[in-house]
Amino acid sequence: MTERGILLFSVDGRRHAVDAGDVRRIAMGSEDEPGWIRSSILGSPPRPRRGLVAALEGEERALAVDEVEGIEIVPAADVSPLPRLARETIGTRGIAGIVVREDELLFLVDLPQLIRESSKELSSHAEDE
Amino acid sequence: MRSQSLQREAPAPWEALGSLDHVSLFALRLLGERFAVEASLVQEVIRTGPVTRLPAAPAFLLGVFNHRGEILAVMDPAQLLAEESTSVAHGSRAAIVQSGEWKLALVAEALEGLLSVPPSALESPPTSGPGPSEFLKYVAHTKEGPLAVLDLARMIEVARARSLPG
Repeated sequence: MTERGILLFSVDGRRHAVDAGDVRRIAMGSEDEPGWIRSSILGSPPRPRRGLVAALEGEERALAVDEVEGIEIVPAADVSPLPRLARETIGTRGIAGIVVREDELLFLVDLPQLIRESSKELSSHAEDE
Repeated sequence: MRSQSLQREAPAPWEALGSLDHVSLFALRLLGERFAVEASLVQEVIRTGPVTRLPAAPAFLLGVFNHRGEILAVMDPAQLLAEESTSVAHGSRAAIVQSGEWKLALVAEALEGLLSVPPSALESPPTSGPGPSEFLKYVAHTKEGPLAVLDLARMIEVARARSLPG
């Protein structure tokens, strides 16, 4: 049976998953760290204690999260792409799929894409101000 | 004979059903009124488990849920018809429909079930253009009154178009 390694984390009290291979490292720090994305479609962690670091265009960027629970190996069959209607109509490409865990559905986050989108959002807000 | 057939206008969509004894519809209640979809599109009626909302989702997309290991999108047709929400609770009933390659769950105020009408009871929707009538395939005249038959493929097409950025 094919398996996948996913890293479980939480933002704003809600659990999410990311392909472990998308995370370069887990940073410890505070919200004042440069290069940290503190707000995304997943929410804004009130007291971010960890950052999920991804490499983007040769630079390291981190998504601030509340908690990192650890890596779990799940059967590949438990990971589904988003239904096509959802994929084509939601206003983000930062959710790559759904992980079924017992009775819970977790968003499988596309970390580089989510960071990219959130950075653009931040830049456009900064320009507006 | 040949010129007559060439001059003939394109047949109305329900004329193709004329050779049938009856047309099967699946009736449901939306916005306090009776609607239907073609029964052949309905795979089953289920009680939804918890629906997981998606971030940055349009109002018609209520979320996704796990249906026997398959993740399905849940659509609220009332949002597309009139920008009004259907109240959905855990365990609400939904109709799983398949229109072409699109498989999804439809929620409604009530799912009334199957009924048959003769093809002669079908006529084209009253008007066209933006508004609920743009989503109607035909109107069926039944003993209980007129029934607006939704064009599911059209609804999905419009839903996708409305969600395109910019």
